[in-house]
Amino acid sequence: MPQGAPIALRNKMWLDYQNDVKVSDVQLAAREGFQSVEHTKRYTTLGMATDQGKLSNINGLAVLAEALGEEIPQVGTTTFRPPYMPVTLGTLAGEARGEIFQPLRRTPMHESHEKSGAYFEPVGLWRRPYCFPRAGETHEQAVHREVLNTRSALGLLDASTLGKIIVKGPDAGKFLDMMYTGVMSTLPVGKCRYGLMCNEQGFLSDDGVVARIDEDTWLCHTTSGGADRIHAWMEDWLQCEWWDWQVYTANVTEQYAQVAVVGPNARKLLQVLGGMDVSKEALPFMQWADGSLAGFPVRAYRISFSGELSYEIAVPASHGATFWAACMEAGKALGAMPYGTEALHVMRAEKGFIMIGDETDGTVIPQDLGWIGRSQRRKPTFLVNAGRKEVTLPTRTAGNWWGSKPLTDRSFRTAPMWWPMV
Amino acid sequence: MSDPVSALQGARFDGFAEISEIGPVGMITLRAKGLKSLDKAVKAAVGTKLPALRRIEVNADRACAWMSPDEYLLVLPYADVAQTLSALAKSLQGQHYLAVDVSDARAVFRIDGPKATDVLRKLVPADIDGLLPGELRRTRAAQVAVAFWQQDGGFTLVCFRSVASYVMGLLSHSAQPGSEI
Repeated sequence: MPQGAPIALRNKMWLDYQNDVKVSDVQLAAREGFQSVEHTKRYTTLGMATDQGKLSNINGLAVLAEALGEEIPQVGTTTFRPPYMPVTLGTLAGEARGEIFQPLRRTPMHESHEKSGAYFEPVGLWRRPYCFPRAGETHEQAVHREVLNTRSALGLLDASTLGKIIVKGPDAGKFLDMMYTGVMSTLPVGKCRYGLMCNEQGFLSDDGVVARIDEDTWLCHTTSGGADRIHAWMEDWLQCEWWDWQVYTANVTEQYAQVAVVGPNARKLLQVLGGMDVSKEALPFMQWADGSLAGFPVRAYRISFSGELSYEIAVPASHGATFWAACMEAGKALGAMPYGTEALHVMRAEKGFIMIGDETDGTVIPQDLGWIGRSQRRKPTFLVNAGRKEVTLPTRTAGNWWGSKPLTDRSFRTAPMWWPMV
Repeated sequence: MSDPVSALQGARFDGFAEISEIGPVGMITLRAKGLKSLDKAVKAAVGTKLPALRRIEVNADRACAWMSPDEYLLVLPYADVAQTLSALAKSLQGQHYLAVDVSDARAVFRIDGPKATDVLRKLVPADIDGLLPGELRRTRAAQVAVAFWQQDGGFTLVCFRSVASYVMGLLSHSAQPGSEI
């Protein structure tokens, strides 16, 4: 504080930077009769922050001594508490620094994407390629190229981040009927079905393709960011509500690397890799089959989030990088290009498919997305049926949403895109 | 087909303790509770008895760990997983259980050296002094889930594959020479 500073300024002389105690506060304490140092401390909170007065107490004692007209030793000190020794900022920061400040999740193909110059975006803690820009290309141009190439030739997507949860047991079908708005118990072995999940209030929470593996086993795909949450949500219901149901779950998300092979040349690529029959007859839409491709043990799902001919190929994660490289190599002659999450979203939106997380924000119910017929047809065991009947739900969003639907595209499905207006 | 590769392909760091990523290691998640033939099935799979609460039974390169009241982790050579899964399916047939291969979903590290515990002390909230030989601890290292146990004079630590390089970074940082506790 400058020599001769007026009272207004001197009233703002900070003493304890952690607890915002001023010199004038300590002087006031002395005038109020708090002559004991312990009383002054409690009256002003001087030295009561996490530094326990290491930054302020000596000055505070001096101010109090001066105000009382005494020497510092006569005023005394407060109880000396830890930290006794200075600690470095490094000690406080610990491991939270540099590369390990935050755990980043990497797919088995991550290194390959880095070498391809991928521009990454965060999806939960995952880093997924948003697009693969070429020299001189903007990200927007790269996305356009990736979409057009996938629609006209062949696109490859690293879909490894998709959640994969095994649900098995005599009551697994009954359990999944509770979890999804649709019916999963009737899904025949070998087939796939798209499913939506809601929370207890009926708001959309996750989606994905469910595959019936055998009589009492289902594989549930979740969104990339949703795997842990949905696995915990399933366990919550199984452990706390339906503890007498015979169902086990296991989160096998990271066991498999998954490659989406998409576009008119998708089947050709798998035929070039060779090893299993992926023809229209052997592997129709919404079915899966185990087999091998180019010698890799795979599970091939014939599913599509782009409206194109499309397969998703799951391989053990320890073969993910080499399988991706094999697809890229064999795909060269077929016009294969990797595509990122933005192209994925564009293609999905172009066909009017539901996009959890993009057109849902925790306030959206299936009815908002034109899914009402499907969810109403089902039997009455779905866990959010109670919430669904609440009068607020069907009417609540009536004025808040608008949808758009191109008139020219005949491939468009029933549901238009819906956007929140709130 | 190429050989399976572990997440970090055997990365190493030599600090005041030796950190090494090992693997691929075979692992099976086995969920079952109170089944008559469970003891026998586990014995046949990894050659150990069923572990008690929080414990891991080790048999050379095989082990069975208690993960929760209805979950066990079988550790075994990577190449034996498929055959072990079909043996489990046979011996537990008709009963309610779940056995899945999670070998590729994991990364496995060894922490060796006389001060190996110091590496963990700085990263995990678990009480290392309270960790008995033959116990497995499910906890976290900094911000991610891990499990570890003492074996062969050091520690074996397991985490998810996607965060392998984060965990390698943690262990290496914690093992920096001069940063012993």
